[in-house]
Amino acid sequence: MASAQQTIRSGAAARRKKPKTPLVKKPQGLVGRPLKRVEDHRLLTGKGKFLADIPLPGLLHAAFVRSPYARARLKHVDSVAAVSLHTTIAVFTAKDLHGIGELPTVEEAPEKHPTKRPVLVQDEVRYLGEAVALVISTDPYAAEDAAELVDVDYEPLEPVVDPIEAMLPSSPRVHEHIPNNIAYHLKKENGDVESAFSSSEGVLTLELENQRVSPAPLEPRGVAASYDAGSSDLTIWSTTQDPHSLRAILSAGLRLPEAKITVIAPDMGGAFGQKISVYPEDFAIAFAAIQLGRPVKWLESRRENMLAGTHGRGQVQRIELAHANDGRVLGVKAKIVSDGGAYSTSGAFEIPELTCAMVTGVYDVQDVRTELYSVLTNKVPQDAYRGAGRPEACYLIERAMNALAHKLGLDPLEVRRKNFIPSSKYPYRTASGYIYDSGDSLLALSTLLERSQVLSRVNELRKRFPDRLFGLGFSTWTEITSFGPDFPQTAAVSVTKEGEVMVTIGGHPHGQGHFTSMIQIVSDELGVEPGSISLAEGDTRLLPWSSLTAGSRSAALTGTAVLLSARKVKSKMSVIAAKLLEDNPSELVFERGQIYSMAKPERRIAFKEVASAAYLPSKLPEGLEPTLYEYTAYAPPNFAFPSGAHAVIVEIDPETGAVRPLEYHAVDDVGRVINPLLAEGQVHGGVAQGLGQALLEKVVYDRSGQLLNAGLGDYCLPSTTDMPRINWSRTETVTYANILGVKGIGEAGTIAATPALVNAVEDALGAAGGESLGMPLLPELVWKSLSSKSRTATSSSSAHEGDRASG
Amino acid sequence: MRKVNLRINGKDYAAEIEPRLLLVTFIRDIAGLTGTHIGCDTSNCGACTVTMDGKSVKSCTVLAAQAEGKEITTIEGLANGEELHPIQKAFWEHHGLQCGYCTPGMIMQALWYLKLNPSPTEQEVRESLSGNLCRCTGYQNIVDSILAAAEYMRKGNQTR
Repeated sequence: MASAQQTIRSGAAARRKKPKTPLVKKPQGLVGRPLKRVEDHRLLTGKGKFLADIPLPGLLHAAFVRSPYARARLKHVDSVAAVSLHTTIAVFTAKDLHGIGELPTVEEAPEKHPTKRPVLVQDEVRYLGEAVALVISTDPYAAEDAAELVDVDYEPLEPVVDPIEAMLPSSPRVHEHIPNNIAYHLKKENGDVESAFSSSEGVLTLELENQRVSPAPLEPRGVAASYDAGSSDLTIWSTTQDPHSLRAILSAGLRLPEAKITVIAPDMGGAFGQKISVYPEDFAIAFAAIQLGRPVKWLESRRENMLAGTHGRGQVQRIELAHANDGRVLGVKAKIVSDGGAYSTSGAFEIPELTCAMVTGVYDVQDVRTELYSVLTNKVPQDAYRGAGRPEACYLIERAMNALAHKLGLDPLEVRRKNFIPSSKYPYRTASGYIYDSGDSLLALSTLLERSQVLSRVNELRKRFPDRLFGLGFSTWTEITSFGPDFPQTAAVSVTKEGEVMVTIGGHPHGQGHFTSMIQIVSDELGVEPGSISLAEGDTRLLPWSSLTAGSRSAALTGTAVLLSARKVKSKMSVIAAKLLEDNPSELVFERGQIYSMAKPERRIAFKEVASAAYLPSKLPEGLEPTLYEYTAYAPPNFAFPSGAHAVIVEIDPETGAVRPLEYHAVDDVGRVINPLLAEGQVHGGVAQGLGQALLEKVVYDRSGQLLNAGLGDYCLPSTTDMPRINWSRTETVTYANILGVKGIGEAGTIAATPALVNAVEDALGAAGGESLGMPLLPELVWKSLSSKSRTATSSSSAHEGDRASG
Repeated sequence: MRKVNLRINGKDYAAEIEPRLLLVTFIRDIAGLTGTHIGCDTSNCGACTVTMDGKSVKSCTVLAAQAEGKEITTIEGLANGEELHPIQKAFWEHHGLQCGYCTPGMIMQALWYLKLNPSPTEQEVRESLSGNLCRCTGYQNIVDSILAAAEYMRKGNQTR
């Protein structure tokens, strides 16, 4: 590759001399520095309080009876034997759930069909593991025993498992009122797609499957509920990313005022989108606690989590690129069939919509048509999994870019460079109507090549070991974050009389390190030590409303809400301090626990002293309300669009087909970074999940709708030995999407890694005369591809055109 | 029911238990030491790792009755008051945890492994952890934490 040689030379030169302008801004205060996490001590010493760890007096234990069929008529439930155990307190079936509503699905709209979703199966089972009955016992082991004794009479029905088959008129209907199981159909077009295609020099077509995977947080789900019959207050502890929404939905379902419901999200062992939706178990456990007047807890087993926790991805994708022979993309047609599962949940509709909207990635193309079919199948509903819709978009376009390069005999990086949105075109309006406010893919890619030297490294490997198979894969990614405006994040900052700063935030962090990053923001703003700032979250009593922790949005939204609240506090304290210092409030500086004016820095007053004064109305300037508490609800005007370039070198063992990633490099533009230690950690974990999907993970249903790998022995999460080292660095273009200038980091790795890895494996197989494959790239699949190619030994020059992913 | 005596973190716990009771349930529900977590029920994830007579075991795969007379150490038994064990300290310094759910199991596995091999290579550390799953960190910082901990422990310097 000519470009490889050029890059080696330019890369070596770049290593020697420093770039003229720094690619990343230097931090001024604590924001931007790798502060070690303040939340770690208790987690390191076994003092975390996860759902299972919360003690409740008089606690009862729940177990669910779940359907062993994907589709069946529920004929009869006999709980006599279960009730006969002396440890059994109650068995509930659908008939017993008096006065509780159904779980919400989407709202009716043109082309959008809602479905009814009962808490416990009423007449028809629609997915394997759907809850049929709830058993309450005095002991968790006894609850499992009793659940096994519940005798359920099912009449098995033919399920529909494959989303493409589901669209056939002859297929069974998951819900009788939805013909062809198409719950949502959406077609969008921008520009003049037909003339882009008719005037092009060729069309590349690629069909792929983005397989269903399980988010598999290490802590499965769980719910506990306690009801005070006297006050009719209900307290729910739930593994949820969205406590306030759960409160609202429970209020509607249980017909209790929101004022009577408290939702607490305790420490949470990961979520990755699986803990966003409200689940049948939330309703059922709350109902049981109210009925029995005693606290009830349900802890999900891993098998249940695989069966009944939402899955992510699940798309059959087709893309057509109208192109010129120099590699320029002129038009795009994309068709997505999304495997929504058994109910019209909002996730099953909104997530693939995002895929359609982001399908052009970082490329400058305006003539675009997308078509989405959200299809119901007899599987657990689809919902978010880290990236939610954007990894699927990135996978599709990044594979297609490689396929186009392969078809035209061009360097995949050259094809990308030809199509990147030039930095001069930002802010850039995409075909789907989003405004990318900033970004520079060319800079990210060139920085990646310079810093990683992957082109020369893979060539060296191939030269040194000519008998071994190496591959190099890239992806140049973007995504949409900072969802708003209808999902405001909230925060409050207060200062006690003693000068302690208390921060409360909405949503619910579960590994992201919000305690630390939010404290950094407040520390800079108020000029106090991080040690004097505390943070509370995960309890609906703390704030009137907030939306969820998801979608790489916490730094941008919660961070901004925290910053604005801190600024309000500062402004009020400035007025008080100005009176005490006899100075102008706008001149005051807050630094190291002191407040002073730049003009007279020798006259100072302690932060604590001003805080105390705020609680004494007699000391306050006239008209100023006493105490220090400020609240902000922040809804951003625009989304943010982080982007970047990733590269991975893999080796394939031709004897076994095993793929081994050797090294992974990433350069991301995520705007300003609050804490690089935490940000890099997010990338590491994201890459691991992206790698998992590329190489290891897939929920495998057979034709009868049985899940064949419902445990961590068969469903392989990446382990230490599967992961390469990840080298991460950054470029930075300025975003005005929020005043912090952050773009979001949580999903970057997951989005970028999957196509980079598959492109790398294809590169390795291409070198050996292989062919395009589907995910996950298990050794057997890779080995078969290698061996079939070595038998036929045909040219693969046009192999990419019309590829089908075999999944 | 059967009476057993278990010694956990140097303290004795006596209880009447069902023979089927798992060690992890005893540790969590009877001894009240909830730092040991359950992640999979099938001994794949390692969140429940503790040491039994100094050797790491997955406590979801040991019956409480089998642990009678053995010395069990859990994550709660590591720190010396407020002073973190070098492995805990290294996890903090190297951002070796995010959600913290796998962390106690990772640390207990490392505790055993570093006794066996006080100067491991990165690859050896990775192999020693292949039975402990983490969904947050991509493992890099966990591996780096354990390599750093090995160095602290070799130097015998537990305070800095």
